[in-house]
This record gives sequence, C-alpha cells and structure tokens, in this order.
Amino acid sequence: MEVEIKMPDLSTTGDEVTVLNWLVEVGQPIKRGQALFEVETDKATMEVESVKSGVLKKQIAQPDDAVSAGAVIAILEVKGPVQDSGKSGPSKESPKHKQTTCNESTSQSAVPSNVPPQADSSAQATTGMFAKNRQAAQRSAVDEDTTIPMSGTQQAVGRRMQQSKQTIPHFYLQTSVNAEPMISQRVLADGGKVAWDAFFVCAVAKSLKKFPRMSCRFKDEQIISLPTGVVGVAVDVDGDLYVVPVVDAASNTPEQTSSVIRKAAGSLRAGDSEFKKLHAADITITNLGIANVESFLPIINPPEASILGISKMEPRVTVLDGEIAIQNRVSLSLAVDHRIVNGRYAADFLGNLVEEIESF
Amino acid sequence: MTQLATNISIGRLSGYDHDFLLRLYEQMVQIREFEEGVKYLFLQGSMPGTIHQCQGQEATAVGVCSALNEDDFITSTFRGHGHALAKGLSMEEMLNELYGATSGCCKGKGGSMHMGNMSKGMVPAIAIVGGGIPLASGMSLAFKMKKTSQITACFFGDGATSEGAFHEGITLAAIWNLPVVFVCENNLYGASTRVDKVTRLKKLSDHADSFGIRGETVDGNDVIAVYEAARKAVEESRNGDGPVLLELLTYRRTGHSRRDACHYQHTDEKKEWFDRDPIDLFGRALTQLSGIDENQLEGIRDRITQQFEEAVVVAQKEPQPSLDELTTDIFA
Repeated sequence: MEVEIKMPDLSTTGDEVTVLNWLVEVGQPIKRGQALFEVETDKATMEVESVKSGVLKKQIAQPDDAVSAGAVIAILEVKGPVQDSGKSGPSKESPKHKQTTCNESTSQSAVPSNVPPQADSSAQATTGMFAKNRQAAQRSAVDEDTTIPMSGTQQAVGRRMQQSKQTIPHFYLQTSVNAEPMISQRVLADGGKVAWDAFFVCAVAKSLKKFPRMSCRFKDEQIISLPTGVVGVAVDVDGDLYVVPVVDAASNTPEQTSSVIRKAAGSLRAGDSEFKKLHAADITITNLGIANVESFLPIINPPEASILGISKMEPRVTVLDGEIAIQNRVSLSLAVDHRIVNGRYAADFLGNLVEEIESF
Repeated sequence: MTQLATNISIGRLSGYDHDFLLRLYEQMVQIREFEEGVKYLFLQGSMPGTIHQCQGQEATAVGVCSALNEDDFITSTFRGHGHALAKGLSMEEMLNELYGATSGCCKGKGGSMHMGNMSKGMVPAIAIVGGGIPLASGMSLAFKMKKTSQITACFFGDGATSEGAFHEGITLAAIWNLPVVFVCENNLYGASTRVDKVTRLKKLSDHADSFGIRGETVDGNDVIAVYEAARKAVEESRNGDGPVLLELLTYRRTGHSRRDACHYQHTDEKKEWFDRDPIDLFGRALTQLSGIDENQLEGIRDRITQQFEEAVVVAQKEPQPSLDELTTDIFA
C-alpha cells in the first residue's frame, strides 16, 4: 500500500524547509531510519530519515523546492498494513552524516544549490503544495497564453539573485587591464585555442591567495573563513545559467584550466546532472565579452564575497610612456559584499589581479 | 580518569536478583522505544512541537531512579522523557501529554518539556537550563523542615554547570545540609558546544570541592555502576550526611532537539560511544547469566513496542482541553 511521506516541522523560525537532494532514487528500497533526503532549514542542512520501510515510489518535491511542514513530499510503497513502528531493536541508529558532502565541522559552508537539477515542472504544478508553484499556478490561471514556463534552474537563479541583490550590500569597482601579454601568451600556448576565461581564472586564483578575506563568507552575522580554492565560471547552456567549478587554478596553467572549463561545459551540454549542482566556490567569474558588452555590474552569487565581470576585449587608445598608443584592453568590474570586505581591500585585490593578468 | 566500561562482567551482577536486573533492562528499553517511537511520530508530522530526546542516556535515568523510593522526588530538564519513565510515569500518560490531551500527565498543558506527575514523585520538568537546581534545594529544605525522610534527585546536564543557578542552588543545599543528590548527566555537549570548550575541569564532579560536598564521576552508560553510585549517594543524603554531586558520563545518540542536524559530534567519538550503548552493554551481560537468554530480552522489547503502538492509537484520539479550561491550573 502507499504511504505519504510528509515534510517534518524542522524549521525553527519559519514554516518552510528547502529540499536539497534526494538520497534514494525512485524504485529503490529504503528502511525505516535510513536517510531519505537532505534539507536546508533556517539553521542547518540535515538528513531526514524515512519513517517507514518500503520502496520509494515517487518524489513529489524536487531539489530546491521550499516546502511547508506537513506537505506531502514523497510516496512510499509499503508492504502490508500500515505499521507505525516495526520491530526496531533498541539500539538501532540511522546512518546520519554518511552522505554529508561537507566537512562535519564546517556544516555552515553547505550552500543551497543555485543550479539544481531540472525540476519536473508539470509534476510540481499538480501538487499545489509549494508556495512558489502556487503563485505560478495563479499567474497562469490569469494569463495562460502569455505565460512562459520557468525552468527549475531559472526559478533557482531568480530566487537566489533576488536574495543576493536585496540582502547583500554590493559595491562595485571598475578598471581595465592591458590584454596584450595575455594575447601573446595565448598564441604561444596552444595556437590560440585556450579559453579566454582560463587566463582570468588563473589570475583570480593567484590573487585570492594573497587576499584571503575575498574568500570569506557572511553567515549568521559573522565572517567565516572557509576558503575552497575553487573559482566558479558562469556558463550559459541553452539559455540556462550554471556555474562550473575550477579547483586549484592557482597552481595550474591556463591550458590546463581551459581544458577543465571546456570539459565541464561539455558535460553540462550533454546533460550531466553532477555539473548542474552547485559547488561551493570563493568567487564567480562571468564573462560577457563575447557578446560585445563594454561594461556591466554583476550580482554576487551567494554566499561568495564577490563576483568578477569581464567585458569585451578591444583595441583602445591609451598613453604609453607619454605617447599615444593603441593597445588591446579589457574592462573588469568587481562586485563585492561590503559586510565582508571594505573598499580599499577590494581595490588592492583588483589591483593585484590587474598585475597578475598583465604578467602572463 | 573514570573507567568507561566496554563490557559489564557478570561478577558485578551477582548479588542482584534477576527480576531486579530485568526491570532495569525493561525500563531502559522502554525509554529507548518511547524516544524512537516519538521521533518517528515527529518526523511524520503527527507530533506537535519540537522534542529533546535522550536515546543513549537511558542508564543514567534508570540507574538513579532505581535507587530512589517511590515517595522521593526528582527534578528534570527539557530532556526529561527518560527521567519520567524511570520514575514511574506511564508511556500512556506521557503520550497523551505529548498530544495535548486532557488525559495527559499535566492535562495536556505541559507537553514534552514539562513532563511530571506529583503523585509519582516528579515535579513537572523545568526546561530552563539549571532551573531545577535551586528548586531541588527548596524541595529538600521542605523535606528537612517537615522531617520527612524523602530526598530529591536533581537531574541536569553538563551545560547547567556554567549557570549561576547551579552554584547558588548547590551552595544552599551544602550549607543547610539538605537531602538532595545532584545528578549531572554529562553527555559532552551543551546543545552544540563541547564541554571542554566551556570548562577547564577534567571532571565536573570536581565542582563538589568548591561546595564542600562529596563528588563522584561514574560511567553513565553502565547502569549497574550508576545504580550503585546513586544508592550510596541517596543513602548519605537521606542520613543527613549532606548533598552529593554525581557526574554521569554519557552520550546522546541524537541531536540536541529534533531540529538539530548534530554535525558537531565527531565520527570517531560517536562510534566509540555507540559501541558502548548502555542497553547493549547491559543486555550482553544479562544474557551471560544462567536463566536469562536473548529470547527473553527480545520478548521484553516486543512487548514494549506493542504497548507503545497501542498507546499512540489511543493518544491520537484522546480529547483536547476545552476553551473554558484555558486558565485552569495556570498560576502566572
């Protein structure tokens, strides 16, 4: 028979709890006490145990859904009549933590997926349980012809960017950098095939090491130092926005970094769900140069302290040794969380980044 | 260092009759089953409110309460289900209380954090950390002034030892030589803060020196060790030899509350303590006694599971207080 699994009342202040991951696939057996899914509450991420033994028949709530306590989030197929508790011996214990992805002592670093797996929007719409889907349903009732269905990824991007823009006091620094050394290096390196982003990723990773405050995050009114050594690169895949993690770029060459980025982007395009999840990073890089943008102000990807916007590379008139010269330059814009970093420190970081880029 | 048992030798069980030992086991199993059952009711969304559970700490409640007389009293904390069951409250009156029913032990108005039954020697639990300590001293002062032979066993956690109420309450009990046993269940964490981050004492029982009373640290997962230490302390305090501070070393197998993911307990530490589960430790020793086997213990567990399940069905249908009862029994 079918048993409904409901969201427990796990939040301490609000009513809603965010689903992060399913730990059991549809069709898999599960035992009472085994971790069934992972949630983020207002206080922590935690695993939630199954209240019954059976087979998972349906996952109704999807990753990144904010779910009210009491809402049905899954259906279990259970043998025989409903039993509230089986023959659990006195010392059985659920395997807590066994799938936690972050270090146990640093649970506050767990961040919600900003780019969750594609949610099945048709399945969600029929449940009517989740606040945001309820709103969507109301909208579509009013204006069915003109409503464009929102992908799960776009819902997540929208929610997180709104949260960022409304709660993080951004300030912005803008500069430009001489691109000639990068251009020469790129020609030398691999006949001009290295992704431009790779140069910026390597330079940023090096500068971050010298400016550790830029890798901090703001959590519960405190500045937490939890450097990940990861630089995120924003990637557009068929109109959806994802962030590709690049690890340890400071000790790799742009060629190596380029292949990491290309490989990840390729996997994303092929629909690899692993890359669609968010991976904690210290900073995100977003490059609109290819679209001929001269300058823009990006929104920080929480809980990171800053985001670097890269604009188009173009020949510009500049002054070199008192002479007018033409030089290829790129505009950079850095958006920074003022709760974590002050202007002077961020400016020094940006200055160091310019030096790194100009010394390729 | 206090020796932490990895097994209980049967030599230590000789001299106790089997009925007594099986009762200790049954009480611990009852606490575990109650807490596990309540956990799933909470996860199902059937149980209102949050709950603070004591899986893993069964031996402290059972060992201490078994050393008390029926008319002795205990004070308890927000983590009080085990104390209540060990002091003789029934699973039924407690489940009814958790569901807010008028048939609950506090007529449905106390809930998880205020379990109690005066007729069974338990004042409703005091959820403020350390709040029960001055209260226990006051109750014991009353016993002394009335010249009854009752005593109070006062349960609190390691976190309470940093509260002013701990020092004030025990100081009064010490100078007035009150019949009270202070029972510190040191489960190593005050909410999420490990005990060694808030004190330089290696043993919390060393606080006793500053009050001029006797202190003792005991393996709180060894129910026989707890019982024997408690019996001695109860006897002393009842004889007018003054209060005693017992520190019982134990570990909770769950988060601080149901909403606590408990990420702060380290894997190695958890394994070490889970391997010393109080019920397993004692159960293994019992089955080595002639005349007791695993089937008998399983029978106990099955009986309690069934009793719990039946009690849940009843509790969910029990009547709730009516609106005109809103201010009855409310004093402030």
